[in-house]
Amino acid sequence: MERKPIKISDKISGDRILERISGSKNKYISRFGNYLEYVWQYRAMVTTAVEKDFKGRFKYTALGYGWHLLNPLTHILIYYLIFTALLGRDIPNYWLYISSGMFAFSFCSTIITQGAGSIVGNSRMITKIAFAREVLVITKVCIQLITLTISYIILALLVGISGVGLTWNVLWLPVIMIMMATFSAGVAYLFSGIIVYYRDIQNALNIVMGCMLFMVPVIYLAENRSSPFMDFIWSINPLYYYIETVHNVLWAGIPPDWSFMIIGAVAAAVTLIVGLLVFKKLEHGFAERL
Amino acid sequence: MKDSRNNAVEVVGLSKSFDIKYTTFYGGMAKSGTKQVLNDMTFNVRKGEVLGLVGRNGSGKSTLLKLLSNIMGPDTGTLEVSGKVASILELGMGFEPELTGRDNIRIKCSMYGFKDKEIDAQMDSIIQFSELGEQVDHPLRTYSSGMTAKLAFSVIMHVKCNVMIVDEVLSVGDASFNSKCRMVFQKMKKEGRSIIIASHNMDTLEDVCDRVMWIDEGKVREIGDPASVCYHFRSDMLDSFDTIIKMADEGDLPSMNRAAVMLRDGNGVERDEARAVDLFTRAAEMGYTESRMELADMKMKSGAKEEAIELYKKAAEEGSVDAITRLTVMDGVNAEIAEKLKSEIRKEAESGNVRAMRLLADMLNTGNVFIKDRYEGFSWNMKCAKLGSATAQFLVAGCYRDGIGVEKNGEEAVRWYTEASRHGSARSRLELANMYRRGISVERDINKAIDWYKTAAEYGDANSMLQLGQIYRDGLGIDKDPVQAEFWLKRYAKQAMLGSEVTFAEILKQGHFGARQKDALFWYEDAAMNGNLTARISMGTAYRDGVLVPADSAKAAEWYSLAASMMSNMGNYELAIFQLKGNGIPRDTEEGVKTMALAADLGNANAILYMAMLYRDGILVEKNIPEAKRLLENLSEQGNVQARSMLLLMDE
Repeated sequence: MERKPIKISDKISGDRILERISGSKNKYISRFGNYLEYVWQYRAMVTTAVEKDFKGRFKYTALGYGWHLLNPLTHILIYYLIFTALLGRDIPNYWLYISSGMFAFSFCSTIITQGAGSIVGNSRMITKIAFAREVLVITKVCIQLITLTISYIILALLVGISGVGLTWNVLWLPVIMIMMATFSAGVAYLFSGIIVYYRDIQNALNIVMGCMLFMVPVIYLAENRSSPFMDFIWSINPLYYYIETVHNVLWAGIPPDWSFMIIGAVAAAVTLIVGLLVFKKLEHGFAERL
Repeated sequence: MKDSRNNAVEVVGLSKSFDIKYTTFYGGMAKSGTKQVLNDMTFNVRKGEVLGLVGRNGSGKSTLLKLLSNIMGPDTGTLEVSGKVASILELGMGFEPELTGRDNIRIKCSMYGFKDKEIDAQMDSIIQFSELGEQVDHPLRTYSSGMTAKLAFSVIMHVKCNVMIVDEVLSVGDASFNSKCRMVFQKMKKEGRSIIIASHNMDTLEDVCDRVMWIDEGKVREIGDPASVCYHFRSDMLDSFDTIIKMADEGDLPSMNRAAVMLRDGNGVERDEARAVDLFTRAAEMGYTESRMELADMKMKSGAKEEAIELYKKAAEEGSVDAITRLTVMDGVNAEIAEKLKSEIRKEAESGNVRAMRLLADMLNTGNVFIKDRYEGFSWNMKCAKLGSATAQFLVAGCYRDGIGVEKNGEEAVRWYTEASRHGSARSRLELANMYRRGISVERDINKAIDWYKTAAEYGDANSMLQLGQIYRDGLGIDKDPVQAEFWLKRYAKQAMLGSEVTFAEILKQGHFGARQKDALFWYEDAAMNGNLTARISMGTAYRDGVLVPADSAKAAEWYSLAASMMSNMGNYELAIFQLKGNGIPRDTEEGVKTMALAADLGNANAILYMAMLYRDGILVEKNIPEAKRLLENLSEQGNVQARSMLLLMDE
């Protein structure tokens, strides 16, 4: 039985939009449009890979798709039962504080570490088929977005049920998620190219991201950061801004800080552009080194 | 040459090297050297051309294809492709084993840039082309490798690309699938789309490709006509001493023997008798009789008689006739006589007795009386050949062709076979035809083969008529021509069947049965009526010259015209003479010239001379000195003395 692909109406289909962009009179816009079209061409690779990952992750298990829900729920439970007692005396609704931050951090961390290794990990395909290598990181981003969405929906429901109070500010979450995704993708592109040339970097990156957990306000409050002279480092780390914003809208129930949002957006855009530029520069040397 | 309108692919000065990496003792990575895989390559692929790639493993074929597919970038040089490229470099790449065939088609299509609507439109066609039927809805992991191949191919055949690249995977399909692919290639060619195929299957390449490129160690060694490039590549690969010695090292006894022979004779490799003896010894110890004989011969030459006799005895035990012969000759009792015989033959040969020379040559070549010495045997045969002995010429040609007693030389072989043919050796014509047909020691040239078959057929050889019929019927190397095929097969049938009648007639004519000479004519007539060419010509000659019958020019002309209708060049020539002279038939100079020209086209030497004369003097045709010269040159090249003298006279 053939599955019909879902089609957006012609008027706003991706192909039409791309045609408009790449057909533009402006040289830069049209070149950009051509680039987008080139990547867009391989979108089926993304959908297939995402589908394969989701369907395949819990294959042959008894609970099957249930695990997608069980995973975040179990984490939240652990935070509630154990961590509240250990660390969260001063923080109200510690389980919520740590969950919201942890999911966001894990989202970024996974995209960065797995995305950085995506070129080396797919060496067969890179050396045998011609395709837009960008899709490899995009795949990771999509998978994590879906995972994060599920986690946040569960979290939001729990917030409502438990009586902590859900505000309309949670609607800022998608915006923050997109910013985090853009930023993480940029970092992933940046390193994925470098790692092909210097494999050691992958291990270094993994270690740094592991330690990073303790350098962002996930487990403790931002005010309680370890030492004052780390202030500078914190202030240039975009993850700080993203996670604090998540805390604001989900845990504190207040609107996000505008300066944080602006810094976050700019950081995301710049990182993505720089990451892609480095990636494209290094791309031509991939096939020989894999 | 920059020619973007006509070229789909332009490559200039392309070079590519790889760094060789290995893990060090501490587990890290270090570089040990650089391998230059492509070395300054330059070539073009025209639009609508099918280019084949051949080369040893590791010569750089796959790397070149990866560069063309934009998977890698070059170190130096430029590579320009106009339009879209679709490539299959490895079967099953990009397939998901868990998904069904249909889903995999979607994946593959999207990888090649199809839009959703296009995939839907093409889906049925792709499934049908792949011949997978209902299997297409089963998971890919249940497919055989052949089915995966068909699926992959089916998809790429539907891609609207300007250049299609296929790397060594074309051989997986069965015959019906391959012919479908071939039809698609034809369609693509008409649409001006190019195809590049790398393969080891040279028959396919010769069939399908317009040009073939031979890549050797990263360089373009040769690019051109498929048959000739493949032939050169094949002979380089198989006859190279390196290949043979490799097989010898692995213990293949015939290869050991071959390698040793090459080393001993200095044929294709530097002479090294010591190494040859070593190889012979090893092969002999492993029980290879031929090597025992060769070794024994060498030992006899070098004076180690007892060792040689031991080896001969062992070989004789295994049943070698040569060994037995040699032993009996060496036996004390016959030795004296044998020696006397040998010295007498030698004396005769050295004094110029051709028969003795031939005899000596045969004895040296077979080694039954003298030690096998193919070199000396060859030189004696060569002496006879130069003196004009057709048999010797035939044998010499054979030696050149197979590399016996002399270094293999295709051109010399052809030359001597042609000489032998001129001196009347019928077998030579057939050998020549065979050489050209199968590409033995010369480049395969089906047209030359056909020419020689026709020559042989002209002399009445039935077998060549059969060969010609088959060639035209099956389209072996040329376009099928059912008309010609029928013609030749009919001639063969009649020749073979009626040969006996003509022979009988010949016997009668020679008066073996006394007064029944006249009956010969009836036999001729019967045969001639039934289409025997020789008979018809004989009838014509009989009536023209008044042999056995009163001279009757009209009837002669009739018979000649019947012969001419069979495309006999002799028949046409004779008929033309009649037409031009108006003997017995109304004079028709126009027809005469036409018929003479036809006879010349069919290869009749007299007709060619006649035509040349006409062109030279401007009689009955427009004066055309260049044409006359051309005809005479062609003829004199074949050794015709009259043509040569006419040419010389013209030049004065």
